[in-house]
Amino acid sequence: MTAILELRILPPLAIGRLGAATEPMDNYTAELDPDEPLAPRVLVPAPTLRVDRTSGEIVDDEVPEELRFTDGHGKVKPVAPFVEVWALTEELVLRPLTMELLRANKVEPKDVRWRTRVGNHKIERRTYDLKDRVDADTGWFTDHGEHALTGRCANFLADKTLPLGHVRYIKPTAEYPGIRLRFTPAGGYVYGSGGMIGEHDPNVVDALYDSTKGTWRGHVDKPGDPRLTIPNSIYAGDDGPHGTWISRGYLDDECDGLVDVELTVGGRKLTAYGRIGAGPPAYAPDSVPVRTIADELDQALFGPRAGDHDTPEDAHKVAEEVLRRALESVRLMNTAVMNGNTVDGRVDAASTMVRQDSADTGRTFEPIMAPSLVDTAAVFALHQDVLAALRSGTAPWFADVLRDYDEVGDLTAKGRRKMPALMRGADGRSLALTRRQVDLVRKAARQEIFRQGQGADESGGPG
Amino acid sequence: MRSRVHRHMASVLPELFDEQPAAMAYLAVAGPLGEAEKKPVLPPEFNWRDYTVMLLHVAAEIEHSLMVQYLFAAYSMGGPQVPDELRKKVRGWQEIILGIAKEEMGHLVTVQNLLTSLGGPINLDREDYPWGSDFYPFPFTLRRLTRESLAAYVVAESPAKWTGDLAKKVKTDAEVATGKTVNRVGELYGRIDAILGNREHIPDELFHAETLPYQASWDEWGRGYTRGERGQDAGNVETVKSPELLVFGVFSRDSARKALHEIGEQGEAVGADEQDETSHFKRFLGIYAELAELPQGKQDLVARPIAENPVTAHRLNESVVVQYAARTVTTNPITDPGTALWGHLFNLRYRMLLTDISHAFRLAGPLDNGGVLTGRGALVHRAFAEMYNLRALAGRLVELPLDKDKPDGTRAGPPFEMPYSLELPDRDRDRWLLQRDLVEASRLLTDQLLETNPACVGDPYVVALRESDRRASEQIEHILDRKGCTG
Amino acid sequence: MSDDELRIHPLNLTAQIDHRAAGNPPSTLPESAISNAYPGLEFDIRNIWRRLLVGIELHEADNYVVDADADHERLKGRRLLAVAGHDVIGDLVGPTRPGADPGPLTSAVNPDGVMMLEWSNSLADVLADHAGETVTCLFTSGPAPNPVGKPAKVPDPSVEEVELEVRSLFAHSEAAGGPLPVIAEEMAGPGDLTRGLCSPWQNDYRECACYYWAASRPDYVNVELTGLGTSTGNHWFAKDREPREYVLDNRTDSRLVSYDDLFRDWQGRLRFIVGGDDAPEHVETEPGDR
Repeated sequence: MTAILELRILPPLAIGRLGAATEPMDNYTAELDPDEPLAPRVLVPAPTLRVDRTSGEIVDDEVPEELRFTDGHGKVKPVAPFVEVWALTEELVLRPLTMELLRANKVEPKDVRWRTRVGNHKIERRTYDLKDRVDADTGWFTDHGEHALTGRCANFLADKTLPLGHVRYIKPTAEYPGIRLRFTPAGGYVYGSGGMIGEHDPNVVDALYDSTKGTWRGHVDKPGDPRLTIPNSIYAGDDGPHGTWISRGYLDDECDGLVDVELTVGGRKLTAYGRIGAGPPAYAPDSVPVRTIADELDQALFGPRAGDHDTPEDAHKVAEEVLRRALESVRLMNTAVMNGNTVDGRVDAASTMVRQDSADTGRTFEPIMAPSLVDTAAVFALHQDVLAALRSGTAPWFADVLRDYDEVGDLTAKGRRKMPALMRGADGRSLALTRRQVDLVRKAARQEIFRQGQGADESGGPG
Repeated sequence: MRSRVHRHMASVLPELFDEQPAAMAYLAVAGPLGEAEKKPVLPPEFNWRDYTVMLLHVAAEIEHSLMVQYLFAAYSMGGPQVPDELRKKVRGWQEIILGIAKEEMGHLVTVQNLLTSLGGPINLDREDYPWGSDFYPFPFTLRRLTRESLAAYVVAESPAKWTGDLAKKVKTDAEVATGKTVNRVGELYGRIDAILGNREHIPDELFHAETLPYQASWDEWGRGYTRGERGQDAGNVETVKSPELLVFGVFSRDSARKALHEIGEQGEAVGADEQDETSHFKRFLGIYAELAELPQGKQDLVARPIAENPVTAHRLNESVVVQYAARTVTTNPITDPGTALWGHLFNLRYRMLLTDISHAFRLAGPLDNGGVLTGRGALVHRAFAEMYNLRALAGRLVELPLDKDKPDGTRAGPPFEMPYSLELPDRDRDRWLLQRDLVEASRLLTDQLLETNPACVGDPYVVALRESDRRASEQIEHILDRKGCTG
Repeated sequence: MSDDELRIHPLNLTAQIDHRAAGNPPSTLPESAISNAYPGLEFDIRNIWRRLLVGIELHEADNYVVDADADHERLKGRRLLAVAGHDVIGDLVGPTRPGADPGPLTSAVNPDGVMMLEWSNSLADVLADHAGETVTCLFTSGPAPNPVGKPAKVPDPSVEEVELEVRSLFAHSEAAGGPLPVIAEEMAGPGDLTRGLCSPWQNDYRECACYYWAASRPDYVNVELTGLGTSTGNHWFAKDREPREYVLDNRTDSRLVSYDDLFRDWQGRLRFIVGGDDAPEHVETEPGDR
C-alpha cells in the first residue's frame, strides 16, 4: 500500500545562521501587502516549533507575538533549520516520513539512523595543507540527544576543537509525527592561533590553532599564484612588507556539509542526504538578493533557456520578482556613492564597482551612470514605478537592458549601465543574472501582447 | 486647421503657396528658395536666430508627433486574434516600431538641446488632432497599424530620391491613408542645417556652451540604448536589434550640425547609404514588405480593432470630422464611462511626462562627477516612469470598448490628448506646486477607478500606481516645505 | 495541514528545493542566500563547478586547472578556454581615459585582455546538453598562470583539444529515474561550499563594501528625504544613527564599526534592518552607548 521506495531530505539545502542566543530564531513569513504592493514585504510571525531541551520533542508550535532577531542582551538568535525526511512511496508521490508511515512499513523511529559531516576548510583553501582542514563527524546515531559538531584539525593545539554547532534527531510524537533533524549552528565566534599573542588577543574567544604545527598565522597569499582565492587576501591580517597581507591566524565557526539518513525497510537499505551550511544572519530579512542560490540550482536543473514548460504567466512572475528584488537592493544601497560619484569633493571615496573596474583592468575611473540620476530616492522611485507598470500585465520592456552573461567584460559606458548595475558578480565584474532568469524575462517580453484580460495576478514573496 | 507657423512656411515650402499668389507676392520680395544655389532665405518678421528657433520648434513638433503616432501604431499590435503562426513576426514588428519611437524621443530631446543652446525656449507642444501642419509629413492621425498607415511612415522617413516600383506602390498606399502626398522630414533639417552652417546668419557666440548642464545628455536619457562595442544588441525579441538612442549635447556650431546630421541620418538613411538597415526608413520598409506579403484578411489581424483618433470628449457623442486635403479625418469619442476614466488617466500621465521633461530642463545637472544632487535626476526618472505608465495604460485601453453601447465593438486605444498648456511657472516652487497638482489629479482618477468601476476593484496596477503617487507626493511635499535635512 | 496530507511530485524539483519545512523561517531557504557571489555570504557556490569535468579540478573562480588525476596530469596549471564549443572566457573592453573610444583592456599580466566567465552561466549549456557525455575541451597547450585569450582559429599550437566527460551536478534517483534536487556528494564534500569564503567571515563583511549584497548586508539605512528631494540616511555600520548622514567608508573612519569591533562583538554591533530602517528592537538603545 505505502511501501517506501526511496528517501529524500527536504529541503535539500538548508541554511543555518550563526548566533549565540540560547533560543533559536522564531519562524515568520515575508508577505506582500495587497494594498501597498510597492512597500517592503511584511514580516509576519508564524508557527514556531519549540523543542524541549531534555526530551528532544516538539512541545508546541505557537505563533510568537512579536518578531525579535536578538535576545535583547546583545546576542543574535541563531537560525536553526529543520530538515525533514520524505518518502517516495509506491504511488510515486513524495510524502513526509511519519511514525504512521514507518509503522506501515514495519519499522520504528529508532530504526532511522542519522549522521552529519561538516567541514570548515577555509584555512586549507589558503595554505593548501590538508592538515589545516577542520572536520566534524557525528557518526551514526538514532537517539534524540544533541550531537555536537566538533571540528577537529590536525594542526590544532592539543585538546582543542572548534564547536560548529549541533544536530538533533527530533523525537517524533503523536502530535508532531514527522521524522526530522534540526541543525543548530555555532555561536558565531572568532578563534585565534596559539603561541605568542593568540591567548591575549581580545578579538578571539580562544586560541585553537597551533602555530608551531601549521602556517596559518603568518600566512601570506603569494602574489601571482594562480591558485589564490579570488579575491585574494580575504582573511584577517595586517600589512606586511612589499604590500603583503599577513594572516593573524583567525578562524570562524561557519561550516557546510551533509546530513545522511538511513533506514532499512524490508531488507532494503534506503539512504538519502541533504546539505546544510551556516552563514551570517540575513540582516535585511524582508529582502531577497537579485540572484540567489535558488536561481543557481534552478538553472543547473532546467538549463539556461526558458522551455515550453515555463508558461508566460511563470515568466511574467519571474520578471516581476526580479524587479522586486532589485527594488529591495536599491533601497539598501547608497547608489550615489556606489555609482562612483564625487561626494563632498571626495573622489573614489568608497569601495565600489567603479574602483574595482579601474583597479582590475585599468579602465578609466568614471561614474557608471550619469551622476545626476543616482540618488537612492530617485533610483528607488524608478524601480517602484517599473514594478507598478509591470503589474498591469504589460510585457516587460527592459529585457534588452539586462546584462548578458558573456558581456560582463564590456566596460564601456553602455556596458556598465546594463542591469543589474553597480553590483559585482561571481567573476568579479558587473553582475549578470542567470541566463535562465534573463531568458524567462525575455520570454515574458515576447508573449504578453497576445493576451486578453487584465493584469498580472498577485504574486507572493518568499514564504 | 492651420497652425500659427503656417504663414511663415513659404520660406521653406513655397509649393504650399502656389495657389495663393497674393501671399507669394510679398514672400517673393524676401525671396523664397534660391533654387540654383539652395541658399536659405529669411522670411519677413524674423532675424536668423529667431527664424532658426522657429524652425526648431516645428522640428520638435514633428518629432513629437511622429513619436506619438508610432507609439499608437505599436500599441495597437497584438491581441488574441493574431494567428499563432504570425505572433513571432508581429511581436518583432512591434518591437521595431517601439524602437523607432524611442529613437524619435532621442530626436525630440536633441532638438530641445539645440533650442537650449541657442537660448530659445524648449518646445514639447504639438497640436491636437486632427491636424496637419504644412511641414508635417502627413496629417496627424492616430491609427492602428495597417499596410496603408505603415506606408505613410515609410514615405515620411524616405530619402530624397526614392524611386522605383516599390516606391510607387508604397506612395500609393500612403496616399490612401493620408489623402495627400506625404512630405519628407528631411527637408526641414536640411534647411536648419543650411542656416546653422552660415557664420553670418548665426555667429559663433550664439551657441551657448554654458547651457550644457541644463541640456539633456545621453548619459541621462539614453538608458543604455546605443550601439556598443559588441555592435547593436539583441533586444527584447531575438531577431530585433535594440534601438540606438541619439542624444547630443550642443555647445558649438559643429556640435549643432553634427546633432542634426545624426538624427537626420537615423531617420531616412541620407544620401547613397540606402542599404543602411538601421534607418527608420529601412526598418519601416522591411515591415511593410513582410506585411504586404500576407493576404489582406491576415493583414487585418495584426492589430487590434481600435478606433482612429480616440478622444475623451467632455461632450460625449460628438464626433469631429475634419476635411484634410483629400481625406476625412474623424475623431472617435470614448463614450464608455469606464474606458473614458482610463483615457483621462492616460492623458494626465502624458501631461506628467511632458511636464517632467520640461521641468528637468530647468534644473542643472551636476557640473562634475557628483556634487550636490538636485531633483533633476528624480524628474528624469519620473519621465521614464511615465513612459512605462503610458505603456501600461495603453495596454488597457486597447482592450477596452470605445462605445458604451457596443461592449464588443471597436476598442478605444490611447488618446494622447495634449494638455491645455505646457507652460511651466517661472518660480521653482511653483513648478513643484504644479507637480503636486498633477499627482493629486492622478490620485482622484485612480480612486475613482478603484471605487466606482467594478472591473477595477483591486486592480494590481491601479493599486500600485496609487501607491506610487502617494510616494511621489511625499517627495514633492518635502521639496515644497524644504522639510528634512537639506544635505 | 497535517504532515500526512502533504504531497510533492517526485519530479517537481523546484517544489522540493523551495520546500519550507515546518518551523523554518524564509532565511533557511536557498532563495535567501546570495549567489552573485564574490565570494558569497552563506556559500561560495562557485565551488560546485570545480569537478564538472572528469579528470581535472578547476579553480572555483578562474579557468585554471588546479589539479588533475594521473591520466590528465599534463593539464595541471593550464587554462580551459572553451567546452563543447562554448567559450568560458570573454573580452575586456573599455576606455582608458574619459570620453575615449573603448579598446581592449590589456596589461602586463593580462596581455590578451580577457577574463574568465563565471562557471554557473558559462557552463550552463554544457551541463544541460552534455551531462554524461564526452565533450571537446580547449586548453592552453602549456601552463598559463596568467589569463590567455583564445586563438582566432583552432587547431593552433597554443592550444590543445582534449576530450573529457561531463559529470551531473545533481545526485540521481534510481526510483524516480531523474535527478534529485541535491548537489551530488562527489561534486562537493563537507566544507567545500564555504572554503572560499573569508576567514573569518567578518573580514569581508566590511572590506568588500556592499556592492553585491545589499539585500543581505545592508549599506544605506534609515533613509529619509531631504528638502532637495534627494535622500539621506545612515551607513549601516554607523555606530550612532544621529546625525543622519552617510559616512563614507574609507576603512578607517572611527564613526563606523571597525573590524576589531566585528571580531569581538558583531552581534552587539550590527542591527537588523526591517523596511529599510533599524528593527524596532535596536531603536530602544540609547544613542551613544554603542
